[in-house]
This record gives sequence, C-alpha cells and structure tokens, in this order.
Amino acid sequence: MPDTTALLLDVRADAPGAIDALFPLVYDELRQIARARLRASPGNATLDTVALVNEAYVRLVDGTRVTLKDRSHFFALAARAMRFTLVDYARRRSAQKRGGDAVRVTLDERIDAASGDDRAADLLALDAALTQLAAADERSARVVECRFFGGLTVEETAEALGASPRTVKREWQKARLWLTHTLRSDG
Amino acid sequence: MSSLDRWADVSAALDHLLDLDADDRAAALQRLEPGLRAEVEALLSHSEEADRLFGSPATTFAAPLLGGLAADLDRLEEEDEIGRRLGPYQIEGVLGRGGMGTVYLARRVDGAFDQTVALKLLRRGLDTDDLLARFRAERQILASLDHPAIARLYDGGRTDDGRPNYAMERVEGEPITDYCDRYRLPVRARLRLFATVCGAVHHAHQRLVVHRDLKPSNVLVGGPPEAPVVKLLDFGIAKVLDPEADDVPLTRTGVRVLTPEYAAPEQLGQGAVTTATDVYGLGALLYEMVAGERPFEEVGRRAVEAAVLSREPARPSTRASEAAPTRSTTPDRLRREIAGDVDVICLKALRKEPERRYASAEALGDDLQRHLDGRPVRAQPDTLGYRTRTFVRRHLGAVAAAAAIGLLLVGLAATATWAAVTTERQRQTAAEERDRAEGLADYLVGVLGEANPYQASTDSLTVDGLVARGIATIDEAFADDPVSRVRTLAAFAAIQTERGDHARADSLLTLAEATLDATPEAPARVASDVRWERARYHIAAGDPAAAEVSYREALDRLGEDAPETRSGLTNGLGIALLNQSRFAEADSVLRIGLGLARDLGDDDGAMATLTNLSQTAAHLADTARTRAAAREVLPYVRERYGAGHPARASATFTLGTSLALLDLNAEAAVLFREALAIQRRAHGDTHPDVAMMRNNLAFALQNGEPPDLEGALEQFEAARTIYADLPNGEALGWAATENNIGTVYEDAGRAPEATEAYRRAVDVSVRAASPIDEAIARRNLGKMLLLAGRPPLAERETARAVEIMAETVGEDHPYTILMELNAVAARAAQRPQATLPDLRRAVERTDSAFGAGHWRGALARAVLAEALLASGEREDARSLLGEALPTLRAHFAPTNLVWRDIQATARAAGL
Repeated sequence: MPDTTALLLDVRADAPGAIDALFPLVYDELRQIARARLRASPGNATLDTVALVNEAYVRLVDGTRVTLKDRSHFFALAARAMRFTLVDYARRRSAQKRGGDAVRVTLDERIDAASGDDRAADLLALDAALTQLAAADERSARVVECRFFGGLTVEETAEALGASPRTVKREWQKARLWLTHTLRSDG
Repeated sequence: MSSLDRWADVSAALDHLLDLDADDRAAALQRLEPGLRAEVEALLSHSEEADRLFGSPATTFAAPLLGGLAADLDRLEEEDEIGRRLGPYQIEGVLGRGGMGTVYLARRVDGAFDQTVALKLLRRGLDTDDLLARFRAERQILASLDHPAIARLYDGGRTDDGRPNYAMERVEGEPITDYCDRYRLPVRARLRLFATVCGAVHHAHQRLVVHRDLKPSNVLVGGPPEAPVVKLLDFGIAKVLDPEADDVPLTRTGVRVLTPEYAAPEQLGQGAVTTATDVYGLGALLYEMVAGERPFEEVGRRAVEAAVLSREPARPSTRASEAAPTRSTTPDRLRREIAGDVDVICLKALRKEPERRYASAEALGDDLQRHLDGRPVRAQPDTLGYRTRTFVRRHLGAVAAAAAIGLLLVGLAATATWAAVTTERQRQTAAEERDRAEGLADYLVGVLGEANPYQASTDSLTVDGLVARGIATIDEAFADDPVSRVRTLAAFAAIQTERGDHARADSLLTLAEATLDATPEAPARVASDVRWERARYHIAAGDPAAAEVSYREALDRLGEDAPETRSGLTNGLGIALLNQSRFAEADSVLRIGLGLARDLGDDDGAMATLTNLSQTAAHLADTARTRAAAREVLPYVRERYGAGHPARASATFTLGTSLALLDLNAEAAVLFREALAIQRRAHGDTHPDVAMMRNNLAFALQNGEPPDLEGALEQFEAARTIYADLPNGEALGWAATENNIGTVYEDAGRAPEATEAYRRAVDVSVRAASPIDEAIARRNLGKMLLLAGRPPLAERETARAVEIMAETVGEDHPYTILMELNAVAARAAQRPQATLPDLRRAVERTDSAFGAGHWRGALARAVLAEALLASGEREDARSLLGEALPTLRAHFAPTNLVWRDIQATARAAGL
C-alpha cells in the first residue's frame, strides 16, 4: 500500500508529481466507497457526498500526521475525484445511449423529475462549462469543484485554495450565476 | 453562452453589485456600460435558480444517475479483473453476477492441467464482516456437498487485497424451464429431469444444507436432450441446519431479494426455514415445468406474497394449455397427463404447512418415480379425515445426552407399552385381511393377552412361559400361511425387544425376514411392519442409525392407504434421528408426524409425537416450544391414564428430561418425581426405568437453584444400587450414574470420593464396552488426578479419553473438544509455556463448539490463564481470568473442586 499520508504531505510541500501520484489513489478509493454504499441500498440510490469524502479521508490518511490544511487539500482532491466519477459515468452513459452523438441540454425545472439520460446530458454540459470557466478563472472553477462536487464547506474550500472565506463565498456566488446562465441559454 | 472574453470585467462588476441591496444595485447597474450591463443583468436574473441548482452537492443533482452508476462501477471493476491471476487461475471473462460477487470465467494457467472454471469473487468494498462470513459459509457449504448435479467446489483463496474467492465447476447450460421448452420435452421427460433435481436437493439436505432459493435460474441444464446434465447452483443464501453453527442472518437488503414466486410461505412470514422449505421450492419448480405457469398468477411482489401466504394454488392441470406445444402434445392431452398424480404431487409439495409437505426432497422424487413407473403415488388429495384407532407409541430410546459431566439418561429403556400396541395393531391387521389369516387375531389375543402390561399382570415367569409356548407353536399353527407366520414372528420379536432380550428378538426378526423374502405375495403392509419391528429392535439395541434405515424402508413399503401407520412410523423415524443427535432433522420429521396424527384425530399418537418434539425443541434451545409441549401433553396424559400407567410415566419423564436439558431444573424435578412415583407403582422399586428416573431426578436436583447435593446423591446412589443388582446393569445407565456420583462429590468438594466414583465409572464402562461413557469417565478421573497434583497420570487418562472420543464421535464433536481441553490442561501443568499455543487453540475450539460466552469457554480461558501465570505472563493471565470468573462463579457450586482450583489461581494472579 502506498503511503497516502506521506503523499499528502508532499502535496503541501509542492513536491513534483505528488498530486499525480495521490490523485489516482483517492479516485479509486472514492469509487469503491461509492460502490459499496450504493450496493447497500439497492433501489434507493443516494450518496451523501460529505460522508463519502470523509470516509475516503479516514481510510487513506493518518489524521495524526497531518494538519487541517492537509485535510482540506485532500478534500479538494476528493472533490475532483467525485467530479470525474460522476462525469465519467455520464459520458459513458450518453455515448452508449446515443451512439456518441452530441448532447442536447434540457435542464429540468425539478431536480428529481429528470430522467437519468437527461441528467447525464446536464452533467456533461455542466462539466464542459466548468472547464471553460477554469480557462478564464481557475480559482472560480475550483471553488465550484470543492463546494459542489466535494461538498466542502466555505472554510474548507478557503483552506484548500489558500484564499479567504470571503473570497470563496464571492467566487462561489459568481460562478454559480455564470454556470446557471450558461446552461440555461443553451437549453 | 455568455462570453468569458470579458469575464474579468463581469466578475469585477458582480463583486461590486452583489454587496449592494436591491435599490443600490439597480442604480449601480445603470452606471455600467450597456454591453457589460446586459451581460451582468442576464447573470443576475438566474440568482434563484442558481441557488436551487447548486444548493446541494452534485450527488443530489446526479441522483437519477446513481442507480446506473452502481452497475457501471461494478462493470468497470469486472473489466479490471479480467486478466488478473488468482492462485492458479487467470480471469478471462464474466459469467454472471450475484448479490455479493461476480462469477468470472477463469482458466487454470499453472500448467497442471487445462481447465476452465467458474470463479466467484467477492466485490471490492463489500468485505464487511457479515458478507465475508456469508461468502465463507457458501464456500463451506459447497465444500460439504458432493453430488453430480451440484456444481463442485475446486478450491478457494484470497486476493492480494484480502477478498475471498473460490473456483468451482463451470456449468454450461440454461434454466431448466428454458431447456425443457427449447427441446419441447414431454411431461415424462421433464419429470425424470426433475427427479434428478430432487436427488441433488436431498443430498444437500442430508448434509443439513437448505438451499432456500430454488428457482429455474438456479437449476441449469446443458447437454443434448437424450443426455441432459443438471446442475444445482448458487448456495449464496443457503442455510446450514446446525444448531451448533452460527446462523449468518440473511439480510433482505444488500444481499438478495428473494423471488416471491418461488418462496415458501415460511420464508415470507415468520416460520422456521427447514428442509421442507426446499420441498416447497421444488414444488413451485415442478409446477412451472409441467404447467408452464407459476403456482400463482398474481402480478407484482405484494400480490404474489399475499397469494403465497393465503391462497391454495390451482391444480396445475387446470392451468396447462398454452404450454402444450412446448411439451410436444395437445392441450387436452397435456391436461390429462397432469391431472391426478402430478396434480396431487405438486400440491402436496406446495402445502402451506411445512409439516404437511413431503417429508423430504427424496420422498417427492420417489413419488414422481412411482408415478412414472405406474405405481400408486403416496400423495393423496388434501382431504384426510380418517379416524383410526389410537396407538401409544414408544417414546425415546436411550441417548447418552447432555453434558459430559452429568449425564441425563434420556428415554425409557423398556416399558411394556409395545406389546399391547403390537397386539392391537395385529388385531387390526387381522381384521382387515380376515380371509387371509383366519384365526390369527384369536391366536394372538389368546397368547399375548396375558402379557399385556396394561392389565397389571407383570409376572415375568408367566410372560416368559407364554411367549415360549407361543413361539414353539408358530411353525405348526402357520405351516401353510407364511404371511401370518411372518406377522406372528414379528409380534413375538416385539415382545422380546420389549423385554430387553435383544438376541432373541434379533433371531425372531431374522426368521420373519427370511419368511418374508420367500413370500413375494405378502402384502406391502406386512413387509413394512416387519421393518418397523426391526427398526424398534435397533432402537432398543442402541443402533439408531440402523433403525433410521429400517424406518425409512418401512415407510417406503407402506401402501398409500395406511395413514395411521405412516404417522407411527414417522414418529419412530423422528426418534431414530433424535437418538443420532440429528435434532433439526428429527424436529422436521416429528412435525410431519404430529401433523399426520392430528389429521387422523389420533390424540394418543399426537401426544406421543409432541412429547418427542419437546426433546428436539429442547435440543434446539427452543424453550417456548418445549414448555408448550409440556402444557399440552401433561393434562392429557394425566386425564387419559391411571396413576400407574407406564405411558403416563414415560411422557412425564420425557418432558421432564426436555426441561432439564434447558436447565429448567426445578420444573424438571417435579415431573421426574411424578414419573418416578408412577413407575415405581407400575414396576416396583428395582426396575431399570426406576433407576433411570432417579438418575435424572438427581441430575435436576444437583443442578437446581440452589443445588441440592444431598438429595442428588441419595437418588444417584439408589439408581446405582438398582443397576448393580441387575444382570445387565452395565448395558443400561450404570456407568453414567457412577460418573454422576463423582460429579456430586466434586461439587461437594470431596476429592477422594469423587476419584473413587470416577474409577468405578471407568470399570463399569469398560465392562459395558461403552466408549462414550468410558471416555467421559477417564476424562473425569484425569481431572481429579490433575487436581491431586499428578499431571503425568492425568495426561495418560485424558489422552486416552480424547482418543476414544475422537474415534467414536469424530474429532470435531463437542465431546471430543471437551476431552481435549482436559488433555491440554494436563500437559500444561507440566510444560506450561510450550503448551500455550495448544491452549489457545483449545479456547477457540471450545468457543466454536459451545458458542461464545458459554461457561466451558470461560473454563478453557481459566486453564489458559493458569498456564500464562506459570509462564510469567501475569498481566495476560489476570485479564483472562477477570473475563472468565463471573461466568464460572455463576456455574459452579461454591464448594466444587475445579472452582476452588480456579479461585486459587485467581488469588495467585493477584485477583
């Protein structure tokens, strides 16, 4: 077993390649936990993001060796892993269902009412928009990743990104507006 | 899409605007350059929706996708596994997936031989304790089965990340219903195929495995229609019917949701799952195979469940019409083919009450075979209303039951109920076939009437004389009537069995059997009766396994119109199983017997069977059922029989024994005293049954709360005196009673007397050639020698005890494990440190044999603690002792020698 705690400390020290080494481990673990949780309640598939990310942390990191900042770094990575997990699946699903055709975005008014296929399309559109946003405003996009995909609190996000909570709040607000607008105008 | 070209400007404007209240914001917006303003306004118009969309994490947003995600993650994992090497196997593909794991196609690549297997692997992230236990249980179950129609287990292992897996025979085929339809198999071919399935299920049942999930997709068939290969699959939710084993609970969510169409009522309700559950599953499968429809046509889980619980299925013949083409026939012919036998066979297997289904999967298969052979089937339409004469069935044969220290003698050795029963039965038989056996009834009544113990004449010389005279005249009386000769020989054999003259009973039965073999025209009923007598002889002679065979043969040969005999035989079979300590099986069989007797309105038979069920219930630790049996039987026998009637003594005594097995000693003692009084009145003070009852009464007194050691000793001594004066006392309970005397002295803290008693127990058991008694006696003697500071002698006795017990009941039997603990203790007293690993193993084995928290486990820990202390590991010793002491204090009498020794150890450890 690779020492994920040591890798996490390397991330703080900005050691080259640390994130690249750590991310796949987090990604794998998160998917395994998600699978186990989904399996535990067939027919009623829900995932508690916060619990999921926390469980991954507990399983991979020795909490006695790290600081709160390291923990936030880990959460941010986990948030990205969640994004990949959901988006990967949405992509495979859309490709499967629609033979790889371009997707049509139909953001439903009621979150619960959307079909799986429509929601997959929404998620892909959101991911694409987020990638665009990152090109213009990296930090904004990362705030969305942490808050939305990882369920991080404002404080945790601030810690992970090295920004003030106030900044995080503001970025989060603006990014949400832009993303909603972007998804809507394409609808 | 809003352009990101001027995001910096937009972003800065928003920073400003978002801090303002509505009025100020409107004013500020007006000051913006129009292009920028339009963009910013557009964004702000989405405020509410943005809050809603992003108000909870992405997993909420993606909720409709999560079900698919789970499956996708599984599939990705499976793809990852392909190419993986596990032990000698390499995974090549996916064969299927179940609740816990995926079944992969794998190939053996270690060069040993070329073989493809099905490899089942627990999914990642499912390695919770529950699922690991269930997975292991499935593997163990498969390992215990060896039948051509059950997929064979090859071997098992673990992956690097600790997940268990096992390789089993790869099965190629399709669900049995699909196979039959594809080849358009006619009904008869389907029935033959189905009989193979019954055989496989029966094989599992004999190993106490209940499949619990029989349905077409778990019964695969491959090969050409002229040589189909059937394989029973998926023991994933199977259950081992072993009261000693941990019952891994089946969680409905997470593991598997039962298919209600094939589930038995007791699986949907609260009933106990037994082998009868699989008989139901087989019935549902058979129904579908012949009729092409499932037993209940309801749609939807809830509706199906309700129907299974409350509605009788329609006869399959009434629902078989569309299925005709796939059965290579016309609708009319198909209906005719199923109507009658197949209908009643199906419906009997599908009865709501488990005890009214076939007694076993084998019996179901046999009945189908009878149908195929054109013989009458045993299943009868569900309208039994016969009333018949009553039978008092003998209750229990001798079982060396219960604890290794105190021995309850279970069962009455020989009350004289049989002779009367046999007489009555023979009378009835004679009446039925009067023209064939003119005079037989008179003859028997004349010779045997005097021997009827119910008529209180128990002068054994007279009985002896009568019997001798009867036997001497048989040849002459029935020279040209072999059937009557057989009957009479069997009747006399019964009397000899009853009287304990096994050698004579055996030779009479041998004569009866030889005559029967030479008389092919003898009615099946007579052949059945001879086997019944043989079975009772085996029970009395202490060979319940042989008795089981004879009972099964007797049931086999019985015609279809003898429900009262079937009821008696079923009770007997239950006794044979009970005497082999196969309690769960005995329980199922006796429940069937009880159902039969109740159907017949046979109260005596029902009460006798219920009395026996109190024994199985007690062994299965079902206090409620044991007490309920006592509550029903006691008032009945008290009213039905006089104060000196052996049947009343027998029932009362047996119920007492059941209660004593559950440690309900005060209640048991009351019943034992009652039975003892009746028995003394009926048989005098020196009858072996009186000794046995005294033994058990003493046992209840000794283990009562508070213990009455003096009273116990008095009863044990009286029992010993009776045994010692009997010509064949050794063969009865003598050794056990000597042993028990030792335990009373042990409890009273009197080492020399205890040692002396155990020595006598060894002597008596050696003379009796009774290995279990001998092993127990040697073990107890060894225990005393060890306490007396003579470990080498103790080691010798206990090692011998282990050897004898292992040879007699097997290495893993709880008795053997008990003996081992003493043997290891004797070694530990000499070489404490070197023995520590063995002691730890003994602790584990004791726990697994008796269940965690049992006082014997605590005792094993105390022994281990003593050795730890002697090895200088004081802390470990203290903590083990601290754990064990409360349990042991609650178990032992304060003056008990072993307990005193443990207390001395505790003091030495500073506790």
